[in-house]
Amino acid sequence: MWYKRTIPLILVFAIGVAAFVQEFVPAPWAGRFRENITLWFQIIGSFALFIGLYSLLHMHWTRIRRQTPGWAYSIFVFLAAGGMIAVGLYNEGKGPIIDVAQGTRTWLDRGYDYLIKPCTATIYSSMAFFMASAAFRTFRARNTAAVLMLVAALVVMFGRVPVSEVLGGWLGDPEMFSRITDVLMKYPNLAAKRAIMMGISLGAIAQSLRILLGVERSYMGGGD
Amino acid sequence: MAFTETNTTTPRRRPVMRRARAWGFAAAGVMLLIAGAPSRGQQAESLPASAPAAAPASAPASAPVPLEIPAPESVKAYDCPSDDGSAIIVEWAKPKIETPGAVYVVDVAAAKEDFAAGAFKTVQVKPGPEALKSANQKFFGVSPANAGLYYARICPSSLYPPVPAGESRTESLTRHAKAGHLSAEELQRALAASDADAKWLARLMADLTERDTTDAKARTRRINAATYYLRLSVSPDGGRARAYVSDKDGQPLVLSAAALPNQFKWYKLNIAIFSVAFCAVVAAFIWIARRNPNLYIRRIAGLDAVDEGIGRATEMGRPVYFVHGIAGVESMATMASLTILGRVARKAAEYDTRVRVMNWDPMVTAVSQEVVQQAYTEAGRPDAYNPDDVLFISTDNFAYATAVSGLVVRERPAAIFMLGTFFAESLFLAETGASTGAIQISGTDSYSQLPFLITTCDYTLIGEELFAASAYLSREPKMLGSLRGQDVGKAFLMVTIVVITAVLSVAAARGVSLDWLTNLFKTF
Repeated sequence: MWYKRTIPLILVFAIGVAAFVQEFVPAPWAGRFRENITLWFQIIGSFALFIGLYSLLHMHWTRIRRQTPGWAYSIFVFLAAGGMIAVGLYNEGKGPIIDVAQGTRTWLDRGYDYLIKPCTATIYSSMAFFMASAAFRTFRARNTAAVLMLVAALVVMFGRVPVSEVLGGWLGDPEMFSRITDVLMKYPNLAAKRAIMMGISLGAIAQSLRILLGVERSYMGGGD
Repeated sequence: MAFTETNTTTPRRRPVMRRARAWGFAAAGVMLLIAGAPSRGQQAESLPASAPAAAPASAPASAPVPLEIPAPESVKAYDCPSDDGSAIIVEWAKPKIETPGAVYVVDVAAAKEDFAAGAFKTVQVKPGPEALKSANQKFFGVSPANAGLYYARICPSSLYPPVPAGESRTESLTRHAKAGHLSAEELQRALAASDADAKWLARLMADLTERDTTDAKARTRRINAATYYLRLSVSPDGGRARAYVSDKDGQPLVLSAAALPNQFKWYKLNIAIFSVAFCAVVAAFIWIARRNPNLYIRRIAGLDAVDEGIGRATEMGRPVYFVHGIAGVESMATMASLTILGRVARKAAEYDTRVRVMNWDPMVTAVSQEVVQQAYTEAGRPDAYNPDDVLFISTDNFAYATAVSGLVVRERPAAIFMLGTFFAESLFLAETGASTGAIQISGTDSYSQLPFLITTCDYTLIGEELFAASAYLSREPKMLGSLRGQDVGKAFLMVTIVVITAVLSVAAARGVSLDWLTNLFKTF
């Protein structure tokens, strides 16, 4: 138990305190400490990547083996992963690690630009529909608070489109709606945001302290 | 901080504005313009310290512009405070009258003799509000005196680069061969490298570049730590003609300083004090809670609903989904979500309900597997643990969101926990979950995503409630004590904000300046 609990807790405390102290020290040793910690993190992370890859491929292989509904899609995981790994290793005939000449577009670049990027852009653009359906549900005037939010949201949305200047012009001030929008965003909205941010910061500090003092230990895979 | 200066006690000599001398320097200025600007390191032409400006030849004789020279006693050179030892500061008093177009020039030399040999570098400072010390509160603080002091930040390693700039491959190879990093045979092979040797050469160059990077860091430290000699002058037009700040003998005043690493960032003092004080409060409440375990903690609806969600999944015979956000294990929100995962997995194991954990980060996957396995063991059902239920999906946030959404639509979980850091994909995930009718409990530290989660989820842990979850769910006195400390810190901040806002408003209404009070809360 000593090596499984006590040593990790001592390490967590020592590294945690050192990480806190280095934040206030400009001397190069603090920078070197941060670099080393980052390096260790990357080394451990690279091992974890194999666990992640194994987890992903194992799950999809199980789906194919058991022929669960939609198992054929799992074949694409192997094709896509294998394809990208292959072109990455091929590296325009130079093999792994070697840099290709600057400006050369490798097959890996093409795979990223012509397959991954368009897919990502498609998913991102579909967010507009999700946003519309979420807004439709939220902006129902069910009670006073909901009415207030609805009015504020309409004003902010209206103040950010050019037609608001036309309507403002008819009312005597083309900038009227954009100014109201600015006031709403700068004061009530920013105040609420900052309050949440402060709460998050305090919560994160308290959580860190619980971890450093060994009060919170469930992240180590055990109970409390 | 190193503060080494010489001859700074010489009495100030006021500039003399004599028309005849002005014309003399005007003529000199014209000649200099014809001669062209000097290159870096070239010996500048000195004007007497008390000289008026070298006025343009076309300037009317009745309006010569005076060239004000900073008082010698105001010129100081010292190590830049609160930095890593990479800069020297030269400061001087802002003259009462400033010549339009004039530029301050700091000469920097590695040895005093270099000035006579013309082997020095120059740094120009254009006068203006941004050149004042008051414009850089991070390093110089908020003293009112800073509004009357100009400064130049001299970075020795920029003036004397540790690695030769624009070096060709042949030059680099030759340099390394001379330093003994390459044998003569290797040098010959590298210089005559054919296509067959391309891989070998690429590896060799990568090694040499790595060596250069490491050497450059050490050399940069040595370059910065050396003592440099500095002198200040004013150029009427940024050209070669300069009037030097002089010592009592009429010679250019030479100061010396070295850039040394500092051990504390003084501009973060207020943060350090608050952090330590807040930690002390939390630690004190943990200690109090051990003596008095019956602390009152406010109810958090989102956490009370955890059991409800798992119970619903058990009744419906459907799985529980736990969606980590898209942050690594180093994120505090992820750490908080891992503690909640332990609780959820244990409860689900007790009820024999399947828990599937969706991960964006491989390291979080590994930790999650450990947490879930331990939870199943503690629940007395280690055999029910299935590693395939803790999935790594993708490190691309939209690929992750798409895959999770697909699983949600196909498997229709009864409860979805979305806890961690989320970005644009939060609405995508939450809206898909809402469309399947799952009970959704979310919590995030990304305040920009909170509106989306509040809109689409049944319960949302707002801000610090996510971090309070482990303490709240465990009900362990020590954990609850830290939660009380957290609430006390929040109350203190609220009171401080209200009181200080009121004080500053009253002070502003009465025309009283309380800048020192606002400066206490400034962060850099």
